[in-house]
Amino acid sequence: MSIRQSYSHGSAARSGLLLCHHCGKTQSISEVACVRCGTPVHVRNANSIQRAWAYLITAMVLYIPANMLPIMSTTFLGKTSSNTILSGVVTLWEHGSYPIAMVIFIASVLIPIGKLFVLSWLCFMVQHRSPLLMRERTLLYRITEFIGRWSMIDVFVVAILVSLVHLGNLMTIYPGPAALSFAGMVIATMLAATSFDPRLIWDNYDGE
Amino acid sequence: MQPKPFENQLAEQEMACHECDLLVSFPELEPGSAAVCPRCDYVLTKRHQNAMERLLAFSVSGLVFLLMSALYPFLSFSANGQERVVTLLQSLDVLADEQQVLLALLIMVVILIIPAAFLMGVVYVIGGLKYGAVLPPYGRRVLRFILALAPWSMVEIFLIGTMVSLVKIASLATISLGMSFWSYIAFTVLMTLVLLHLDKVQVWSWVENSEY
Ligand SMILES: [Zn+2]
Ligand SMILES: [Zn+2]
Repeated sequence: MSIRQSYSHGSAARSGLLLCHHCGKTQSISEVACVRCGTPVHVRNANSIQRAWAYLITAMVLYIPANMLPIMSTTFLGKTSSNTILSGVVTLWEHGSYPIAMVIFIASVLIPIGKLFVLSWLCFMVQHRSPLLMRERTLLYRITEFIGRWSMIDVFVVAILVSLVHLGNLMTIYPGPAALSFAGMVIATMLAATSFDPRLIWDNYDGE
Repeated sequence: MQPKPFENQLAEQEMACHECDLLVSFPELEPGSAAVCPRCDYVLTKRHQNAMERLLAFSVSGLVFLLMSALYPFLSFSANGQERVVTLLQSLDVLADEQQVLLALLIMVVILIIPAAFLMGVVYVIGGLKYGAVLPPYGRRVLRFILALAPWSMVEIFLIGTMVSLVKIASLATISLGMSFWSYIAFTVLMTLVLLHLDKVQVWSWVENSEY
């Protein structure tokens, strides 16, 4: 079985075994559906890197309108002003709401950009069969996967403000088109993280 | 040949790591302990004390609080003598009225529908295993479905988002927190507890063992 030699020493794949991602049952590499739960099983996620790239590119495209278009507009005593994600953070900062400005900045700017960079780098390293920093890359993947959903905070903030601040000309908040693009971007990065198979990182491991 | 009673447990002790594919062998786990991958530190599986009872208690009470948070007023906002009281569903309705139907639907799915379906599924499968001692009809399908749904629940993120919004507008108006808001907090705590106690590997081994 020469094909198994392309997997790292000590790996299940080399021993002719694979793990069902869904229920954790370890079984023969020849199975197509899990013997315990029936989910389709693969030695490695099918087209993992290609799918991850497709979602990443979708996320990058959605990131443009999410940042260029207004995320919400505020009418106060008859006057209307619009804010993008970034100008909203700046406004909050200028008004002295530092903690909230930080939360929104981290959740809506830092995390999404960081996630796009990290996942792109992880895909790149796997494509180049790099044997470097495997432990660190796995850890980075785990953090990215865990933290990505938190970017949705700003979408929820807009939803709550829009529904609550609705007092006609006196004070009303309207949602902007960026809210939906931003939500789409978060979902695309979540799908990219799920598509990426971290086991690919370890396939070039040459230690014992 | 008759299957030996310990056969499943033995098979369970050798497991491939979900994140690096190392084949790991570990001894029978005591409740409260976990098996960790020596190569990448991934937590392979965790055993909890009285896991079934806890899962059922948390899920049932979580569902009660979720129902309460859907029925009662969520928040109220008043400024210059005008007051506005909204329930969770009304607040999504406002969003839909502002040409954001898709966004309203998406939010409803991740903060109400997925968590509700998830908790009902847990009660159905675990309740069946615990009190019926067998897997209820369509149990496997339900279990697969709810475990796939779990990562898409955004209950705790919504709660933090709500708190951020309240701080943001606290200076503009008087805000009061309704019964639904408090129920949603309790629901978030219970939902988190369910997710912490639900170990995929353990649940599926219960399912497997219920068939012998
Ligand atoms: Zn399975
Ligand atoms: Zn591992």
